[in-house]
Amino acid sequence: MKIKFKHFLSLLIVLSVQLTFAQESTVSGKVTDMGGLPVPGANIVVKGTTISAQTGFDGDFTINAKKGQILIVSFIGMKTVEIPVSASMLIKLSDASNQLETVVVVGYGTQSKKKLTDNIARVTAKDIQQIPVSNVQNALVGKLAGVQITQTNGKVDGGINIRVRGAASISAGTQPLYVLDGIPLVTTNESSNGAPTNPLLTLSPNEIESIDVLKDASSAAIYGARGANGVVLITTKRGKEGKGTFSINLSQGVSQATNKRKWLNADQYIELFTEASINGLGDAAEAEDAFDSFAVGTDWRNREVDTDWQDTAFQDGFNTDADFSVSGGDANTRYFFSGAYNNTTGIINSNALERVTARTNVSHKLSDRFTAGMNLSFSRSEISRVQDDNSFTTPLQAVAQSPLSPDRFEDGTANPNTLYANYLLAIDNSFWKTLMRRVTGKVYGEFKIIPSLKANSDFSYDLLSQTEDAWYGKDSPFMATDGEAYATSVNNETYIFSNYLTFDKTFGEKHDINAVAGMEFNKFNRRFQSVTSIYFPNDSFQTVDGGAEVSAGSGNETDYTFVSQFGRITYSFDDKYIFKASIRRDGSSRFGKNERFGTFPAFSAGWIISEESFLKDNATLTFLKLKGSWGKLGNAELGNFASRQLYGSNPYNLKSGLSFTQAGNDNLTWEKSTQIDFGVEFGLLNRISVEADYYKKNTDGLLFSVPLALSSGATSINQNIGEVQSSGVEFTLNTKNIDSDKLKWNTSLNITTNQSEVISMPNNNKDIIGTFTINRVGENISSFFLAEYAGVDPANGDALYVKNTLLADGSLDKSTTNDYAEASRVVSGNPFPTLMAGMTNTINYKGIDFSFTFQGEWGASIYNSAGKYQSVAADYFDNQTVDQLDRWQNPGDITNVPQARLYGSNGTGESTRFLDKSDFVRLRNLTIGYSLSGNAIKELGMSSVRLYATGVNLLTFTNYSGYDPEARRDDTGIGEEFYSAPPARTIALGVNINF
Amino acid sequence: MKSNKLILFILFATFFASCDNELEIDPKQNEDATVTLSTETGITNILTGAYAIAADGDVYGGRILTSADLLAQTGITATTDFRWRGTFGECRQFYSKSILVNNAFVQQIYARNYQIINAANTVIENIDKVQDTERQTTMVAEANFLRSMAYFDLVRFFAKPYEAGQANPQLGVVIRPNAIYDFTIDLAKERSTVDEVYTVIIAGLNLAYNDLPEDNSFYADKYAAKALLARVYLQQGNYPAARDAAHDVIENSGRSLSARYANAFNHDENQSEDIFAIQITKQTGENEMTNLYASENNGGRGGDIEIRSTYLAKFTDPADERRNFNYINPDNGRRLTSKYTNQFGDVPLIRLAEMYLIRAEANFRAGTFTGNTPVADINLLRTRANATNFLTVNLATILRERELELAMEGFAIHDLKRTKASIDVFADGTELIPYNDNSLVFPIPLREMDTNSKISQNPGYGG
Repeated sequence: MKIKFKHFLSLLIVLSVQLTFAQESTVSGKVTDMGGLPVPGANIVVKGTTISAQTGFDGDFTINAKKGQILIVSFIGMKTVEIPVSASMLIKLSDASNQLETVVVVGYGTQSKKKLTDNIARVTAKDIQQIPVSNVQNALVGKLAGVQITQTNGKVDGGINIRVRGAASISAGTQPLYVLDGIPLVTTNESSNGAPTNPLLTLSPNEIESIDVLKDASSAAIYGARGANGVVLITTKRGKEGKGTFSINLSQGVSQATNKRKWLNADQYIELFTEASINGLGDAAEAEDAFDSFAVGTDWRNREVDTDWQDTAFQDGFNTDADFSVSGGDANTRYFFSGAYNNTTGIINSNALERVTARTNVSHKLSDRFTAGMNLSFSRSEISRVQDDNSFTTPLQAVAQSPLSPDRFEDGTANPNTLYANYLLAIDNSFWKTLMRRVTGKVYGEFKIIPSLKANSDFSYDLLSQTEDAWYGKDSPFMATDGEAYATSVNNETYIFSNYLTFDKTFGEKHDINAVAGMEFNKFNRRFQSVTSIYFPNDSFQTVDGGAEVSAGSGNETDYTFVSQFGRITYSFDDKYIFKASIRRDGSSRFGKNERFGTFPAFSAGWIISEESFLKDNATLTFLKLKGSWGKLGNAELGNFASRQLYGSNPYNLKSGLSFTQAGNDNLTWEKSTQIDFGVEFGLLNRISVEADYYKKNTDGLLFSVPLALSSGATSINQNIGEVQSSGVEFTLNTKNIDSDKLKWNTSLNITTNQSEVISMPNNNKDIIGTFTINRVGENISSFFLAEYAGVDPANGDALYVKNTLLADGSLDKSTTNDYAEASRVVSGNPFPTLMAGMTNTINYKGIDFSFTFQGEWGASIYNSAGKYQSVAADYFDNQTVDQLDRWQNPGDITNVPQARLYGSNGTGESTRFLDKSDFVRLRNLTIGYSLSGNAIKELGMSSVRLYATGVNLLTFTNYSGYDPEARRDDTGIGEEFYSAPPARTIALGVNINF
Repeated sequence: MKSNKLILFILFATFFASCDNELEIDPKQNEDATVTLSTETGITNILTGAYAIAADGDVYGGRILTSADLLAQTGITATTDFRWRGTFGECRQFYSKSILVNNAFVQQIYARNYQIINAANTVIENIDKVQDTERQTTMVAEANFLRSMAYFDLVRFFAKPYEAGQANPQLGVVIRPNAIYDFTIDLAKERSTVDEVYTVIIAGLNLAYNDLPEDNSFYADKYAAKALLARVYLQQGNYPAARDAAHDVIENSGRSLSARYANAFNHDENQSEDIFAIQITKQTGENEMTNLYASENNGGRGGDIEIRSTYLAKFTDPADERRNFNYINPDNGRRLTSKYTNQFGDVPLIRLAEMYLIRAEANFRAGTFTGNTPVADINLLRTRANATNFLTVNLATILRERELELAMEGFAIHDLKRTKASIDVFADGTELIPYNDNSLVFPIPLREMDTNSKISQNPGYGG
């Protein structure tokens, strides 16, 4: 009632005002930024009244006000101004970031950037919207100092790796905690085909207002045992007071692989394998026998068939984005609705995504003291998937097929008689459909107990429900049961109940105190079931019911809980000296009873020197702040029951059985990471702002899955042992190069260095050796560990390796051998970059906006674990990369490719031969837009229109010899490539329309 | 105001109080080892679980057998009996005698056998949880059988061959005499000698033979233990013992040769000829034999292992059913064995036919006629296969008969080693790989070398 009455009252006022001052009661004007570009969606309120308006897309507004009144004009990210009403108003807003008045989101509250003693990287909606990528994380690449974001490979559903300030762990999780509007999100990868999916694929960028990444201990300690890998806080959009706005965005784009590799054609294939057969086996019979079999009756001698298998595996991608949002509100109620549709056809044959998302955020002020609200979103993402990289039927493994084999026969059917199972048979006769559904919501209340003390209570729920349906028809590869259908269903749900009190008061003008104290309970449950059936009447039956026999089934459940208490206090004196302390105590079901609780404190301090009298009002050095922090964080991502010694079900001949599944360790607990951070921020001439930070994080009590002697009957044991250190420097520079009315040019540059080093290890610092990697004290985490390839013996074409055996004097024997078994492995590279940089330029000129982002990474290498098949001078019949034509042929030949010897294993051992540096610089994103204005649009009922063109991964500069420096294998391994799809290069055209 | 604060206080207080219980959660798909080891069902299930480990495709579900056959091939298309045509690099390494220390299949054979050994030790040491003493005896005997079987394959693959009639001090494999429960301590151990390993194997099988019942469903019974013992003695060149063990099985096990050769294979359940078979169902176990030997229509990968004419030429009688027990895969023209065409069929580990072959060979070598004459035993198998009978046999014909009867059943490399034969790579004597060549022994897996500080590598595989 109260609301309606207020509405009514304001209406009455407006009417009466209009009646009395009909001529001058309506004021119109335009809001622009300092560069003269319109600011759409700015909020305008007549001071002291409830009269409000919002600007349209062209920045124009009309409001009922009269002379003498004051208008308050505000917009997120800009400095709020108060301006007296005049006849025709042109209001210019300046960037708030310059004034350091930006507000950043911290856990359980917000804080002004100026007084921040933490290290938090932030992007806002304008940085990420309209980039034609199908997931939010990809839009962040290159824009956050200290944060490395890599999509595993170019599949639309591909998993994402985010590393905040380098790895803090070796065996436990390394991914940050994602918190959306206060809800720790479910981020379980629920793919059951070997390759991970991205569980945050369900988020649409159009509903996101900002993303804040908590990087240091001071900021992340409020998330305690889950903060060691950083925390990504996602804030969704909310309605603003004022007239409702409706806007839509449409775009369509095309994409292609960033790179293709060169493979042998039929001529080259025959030449190389004939030679290999003669060298390896004495004559060409073996090769010709194989050619006959590949050619399936076609005349290979006359090159009747020359299939480019790689071309068949890629396709032209196509993507459509359409989204809309409605937002608005009045003094008491604010609302935001949005919906988005994305349809992406991937660059890999038969890989596609279709997603629908919707969100509503509503809040209502019931009284001056009580506000309640609800955020709710749902999404549905349907993915048509291909097999993981290590499957014969994944499209990119087709590059291994002989070019002499037809891919399809004349009647269009796929050729079943290929060297490896023809993936086209799988494409034609099977599917793998993943459907992710997510509902995320929270209801919350905020109650002001006294003006300086408020209580918040939130109840949140997140459900990720995923089903996978796979069907294999009669003619699909490896099918002997007349068809198979496999269906899974998994629900991941988490609910969070959090309650906290916030105290905020200034005492005696100079003492600011802000304190937060609260508790949180988080319970997670995962329930999985699957069923397989076989023997189908025919291919038109594609669900489990069609099968004659249910041949396999599975059902399981797992849980974890966290019970936490937390507190934080920030004190600032005279806006110059800032102190902050925070603490969180976490208890979790994941750890043994003795080690069930952990406490995570952090302290930080800052000194805003520019507020001191000797620097105040200095025209050159406009801002200067020093800050430092120390804190402890935990990493609890090691699985739900990692400490227990366990037996699991292992039936035999339909009789129940139990087998040992996990070696236990009663003392297992979280990894403890101690982080320090020192930083300086300064501003020059109000045009240049610089932030530089040094960070160091030491993680000890490292969770290790320590390999055990296999002869013990167990394979590994989880232990808290060992320490790693990750350190480096982050540097962020923001400049306004040109800041005139017509032309505005901003540059943002970030540079990060990271060294992640193993400090100590289990079992008296014994090396832990993985398939191609090693963790060794003094070396980078997960360094490559390989035999060192030494090229080719010019005398006989044998592949050579450096022996690298330890000599009596402690040095390594650098002589070479052609016997792979004689070569010891050595540390030979780092799978992670040591230097990363991103640079974004934004240029606005009249109605044109132009921005581009370059991104680069240096110091990492990638191991091509398929190299032993595809680049080994015809060791087996896999098609080879063209560089293998440089093989040794005659004594004296100097080359890096050994003599071609069929079945000869000449140079096929795992070695640095297949390791390559993956340094790259790429034009990550470029967008150019043009805003139309004028009557033509208005006549169509629109208030503004912007046309834009945008692209992703447009240019790549690299010497990397594989597909792409950002393509890695998705089934296993660290820093490996294995028939891994390169990312997409996408170009899209779009339009924003505002009504 | 006061009431508000009170409500908040109550809210917080009740919440804190109710949460701590929420931290007590047990896994739902696994059981704490302390629970498993303290109950009768736990211990009996661990024994069944040991069979289940054996039924994995990595070991007795198939690869232990295919590895033995591939390792004995020449690796040359023109001279090989069975040609490796598949894409697994690991198998190709066996075929071409170029095994790398990180060969994943070698590692799996090693790891799984030790899983069987630790499970068997666990059953033996915790047998007091089982109430019934008779049941206790049987379970300990089964555990001994499985453990001996695992050690026998480990020592045959990972150590230099047993040299008959002399001491065998060469390195065998690591012996784990006790179950391991605490994995936080140092578990490094050197390999015992081949002699020591054989002692463990024979003791275990004798115990199993003594304590197992005559009929134990599809689990190992008395005669499974005896039949395996016959095989062990044969490997040692202890012919009288091998002969007597085989004879005992033939006479007393109640098994009989199936009417036709073809009937001995592709079973869903044990048949008259099966002494011990790995049970495969759609839900449990993996038939890796079918996977590697069969066409896609028969549930395999299209025929990764192909029969060559070299093998067919070993048959003197073209009507021999065993010679013709194969088919051409229409997809790729490969000749594939008909022994493995049931994707979910059992994997026969010990067939009665082998006992006749052992008795014949051992009788022949010992110059005895226990049970029957060698020629009669051989002719029994030949008659069943519809092959013309021999008038006389000699050692060569008996050994050849083993190849005809037991090919692709995991015997080739072990027979080659015990008979001290060589692989004649080009079939012209120009390149021979002797029975005790380094390349015919598996390397100790790199993973074990990296984690066991006391263990020694086999010669030819670096340090």
